[in-house]
Amino acid sequence: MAFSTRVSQPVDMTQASRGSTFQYKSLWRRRLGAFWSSWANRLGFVVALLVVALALFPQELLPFDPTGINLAAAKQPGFWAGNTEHVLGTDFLGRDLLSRTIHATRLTLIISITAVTIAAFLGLALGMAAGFFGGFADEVISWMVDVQLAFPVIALALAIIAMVGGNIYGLILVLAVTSWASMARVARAQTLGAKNELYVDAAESIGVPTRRILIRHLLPNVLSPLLAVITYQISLLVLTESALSFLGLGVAPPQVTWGGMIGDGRNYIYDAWWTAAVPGIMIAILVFAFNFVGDGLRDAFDPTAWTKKA
Amino acid sequence: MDQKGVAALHRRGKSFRKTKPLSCLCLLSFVPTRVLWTRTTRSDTEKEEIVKKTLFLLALTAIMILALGCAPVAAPPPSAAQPTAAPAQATQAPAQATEAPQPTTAPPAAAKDALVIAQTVDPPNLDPFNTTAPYMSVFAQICEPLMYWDSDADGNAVIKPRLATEWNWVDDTTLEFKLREGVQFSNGEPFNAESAKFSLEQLFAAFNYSQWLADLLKEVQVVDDNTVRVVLNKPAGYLTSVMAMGSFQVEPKDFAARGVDAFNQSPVCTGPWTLQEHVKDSHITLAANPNYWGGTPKFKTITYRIIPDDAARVAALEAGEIDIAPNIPHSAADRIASNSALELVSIPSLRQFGTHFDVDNPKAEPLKDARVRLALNLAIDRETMCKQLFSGRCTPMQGQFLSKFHSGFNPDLEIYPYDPERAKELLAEAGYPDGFEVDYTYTVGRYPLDKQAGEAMAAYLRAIGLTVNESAVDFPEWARQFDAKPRQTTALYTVGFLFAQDGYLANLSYVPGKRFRTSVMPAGFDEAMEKAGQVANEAERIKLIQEAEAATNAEPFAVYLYSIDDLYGVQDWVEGFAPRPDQTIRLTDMGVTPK
Repeated sequence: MAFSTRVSQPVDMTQASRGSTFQYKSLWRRRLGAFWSSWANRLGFVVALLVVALALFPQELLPFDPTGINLAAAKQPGFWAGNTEHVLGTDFLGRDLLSRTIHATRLTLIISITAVTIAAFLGLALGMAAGFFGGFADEVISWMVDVQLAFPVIALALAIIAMVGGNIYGLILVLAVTSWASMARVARAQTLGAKNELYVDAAESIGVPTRRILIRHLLPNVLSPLLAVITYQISLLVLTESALSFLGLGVAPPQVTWGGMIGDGRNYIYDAWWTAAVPGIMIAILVFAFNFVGDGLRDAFDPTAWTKKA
Repeated sequence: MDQKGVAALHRRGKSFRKTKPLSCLCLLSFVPTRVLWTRTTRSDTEKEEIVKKTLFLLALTAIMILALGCAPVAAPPPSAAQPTAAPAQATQAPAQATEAPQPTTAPPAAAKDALVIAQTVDPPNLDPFNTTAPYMSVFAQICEPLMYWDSDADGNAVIKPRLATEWNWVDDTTLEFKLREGVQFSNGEPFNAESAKFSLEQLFAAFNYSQWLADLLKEVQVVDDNTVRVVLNKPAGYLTSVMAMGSFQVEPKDFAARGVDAFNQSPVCTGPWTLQEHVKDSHITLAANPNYWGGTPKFKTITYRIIPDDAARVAALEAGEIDIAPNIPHSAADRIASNSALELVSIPSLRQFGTHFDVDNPKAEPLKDARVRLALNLAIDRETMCKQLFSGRCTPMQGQFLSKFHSGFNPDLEIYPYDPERAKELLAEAGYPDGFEVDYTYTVGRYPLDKQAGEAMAAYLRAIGLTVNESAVDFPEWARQFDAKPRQTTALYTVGFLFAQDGYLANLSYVPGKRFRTSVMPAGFDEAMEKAGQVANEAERIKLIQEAEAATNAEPFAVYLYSIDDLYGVQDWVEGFAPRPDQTIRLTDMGVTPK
């Protein structure tokens, strides 16, 4: 274990019999330790950080204007053909693909992360309400979740975008609507499991208000598995966003996302494959990274999985 | 003006239908894999059961795919398919339907006598007085006009005779036609002055021609058996131009007997082929007309296969199922050109692309200044756009509204130079040294590479200091904005308009009160157009249109962009296919024969 060398906590006497090298660590530390112990998780985390760094990259420092065209330099291949000026080549309007890909990272991430945040709040609130109050509220919310999960994402997206219009807000709305249901499910299941615990009964019996029970006693139980779902959902939403942009339902130019870049590049797949391949590889990298992170978090926060490992 | 928008909608609807067999396969194959994956330990009998079920489902899938995939072509149920057989072939048509020889299975060595043409849109009927290009591509084989537009060796638009042998203006309002002798309709009735009078009256009453011909006809006179006179209310020298677009001749007795709707389903005319069957959304088959005045046609059958999807059409062409395919997407052009069994045929289209102005839009104030409009024209590098975006299969507009294929094109004018510096100076002179903000709309998926071209256009405008708010919309949305009352288009929008080959008729859409007049027209344009509408002398008329073009050069009323080549894919054994700028396929005019 990566953290085991740092000896700073007092020894937990109850577990001392398991081996003298075992050090007591807080729950969060144990979880993070479990997460960090896997090379896939570490790799995913570092790559995800790099992608976020790309999104924060100052736009003024880009080698070329990401939206400025230069038709005379259209469809140039990149470094594989010895191009040192445009390292990743240029697209069909002569825009530098390196600058454009970095530029598009920001919007791609903003859209998916905003959507996931909205969906998480929505799913958390509805899921916890369903799990805690049960009865009629549970039935209605569970029914909504089932309908949402059964409904084809693209069909729903088409309908919403037809109403809102193909702009960034419409896109965020669509993505939030498509991903709240799985969050609500997790939140409901966790709340159901935790609400019968003795400490919740105890809190209720001494007259702690419902709001406080939900926030202080149940929310911590829900949050950690939800974190794993959120990470998964980010990568899923990047994919959904690219599918929508590919269909021409994404953001309006000159704004651009990776999905939009692939959609634009598909016409040139025979004569300038890199216009679609570069953003495509970026999406693949991002999805892998976030999936590794999500997978690692899920394992780390799953008490049974953790005990087995330890 | 633009019936292809409907076609685009149509096309979109159909591509979904095509995915049905595929999705069935996915769904069905999902079932057995679920069974296998969800349990890890099972007995031999259970395994056997699973294998049996899997095989059964696979067989079922195969049957369903076959049924779904072949249903519309191989075994059309008579009630649903509605074959509309021409009366002459009424008795034998249904029997031939399923036995029609497939051209693809014919040995390549044998002389080909069947031609298969891909059709992008299924015409609802074959009304000979419709002007929609893809519809005309079908009925122009069945019906023949009095005269038609063609190109001479230099590519200039000229009118050639077909069922009329000659015509001349008797006076300013009387046009006399000499008709071809010895012509009979496919049902044996003679073609003469009486039938021509009937067809001409239909033409002047037709909705599709009403924009040019409404309230123009006084009467049609029968002079003798082979001479008719069209007498007009007022001079209209452009009449021959309109008639060359489609003065198709129909058989009056059959028309009266069956009524207009039934007649339009299977018109009886003088053309080299007659309708054999029309199966909705599947195919249209034409059979050679043994009574044809020009001799027995080289092809015994012409089959139109309705393939709206671009990729499917190209694939069918490459597989040899199709002999002539229109609307080849530009992205597939190089692939077809390098295929030794195929020939890529291209022609500069009459469809002129332009970025048009809506000066009634409150945000379009700067565009009312002619200097600003000229600046925008100088900011665009048309030649590089043609070369880089369309691989050179594109012609930049030559500093005027009309393209080279229109009569009245002014050859003295030149392509606006690409001069962003001069454009900035002009903007500064007009009082916008720092540019201005403008909303700009372009279509997506309507024209070849329309989105890419729109993005390039926006970038060019940004380069001279404008703040451009782009919006990419689909064509129906643009059409809705354009036809809304009041109009809702943005200050700038790029579309391609396909106007008549006659420059006067093309410009006519921009005279006061017309639907397309959304910009400030240059001084002299209206005057020249008004005079041109009144002269009967063709040379004088063309000179006036050229004057109007010179005016649109000095004070542009739009950003004239380019016309993109229409691309056709043709099998190597087909000889004589010459595409037409009006996007119709007319086999007789082209002289298409087997090699």
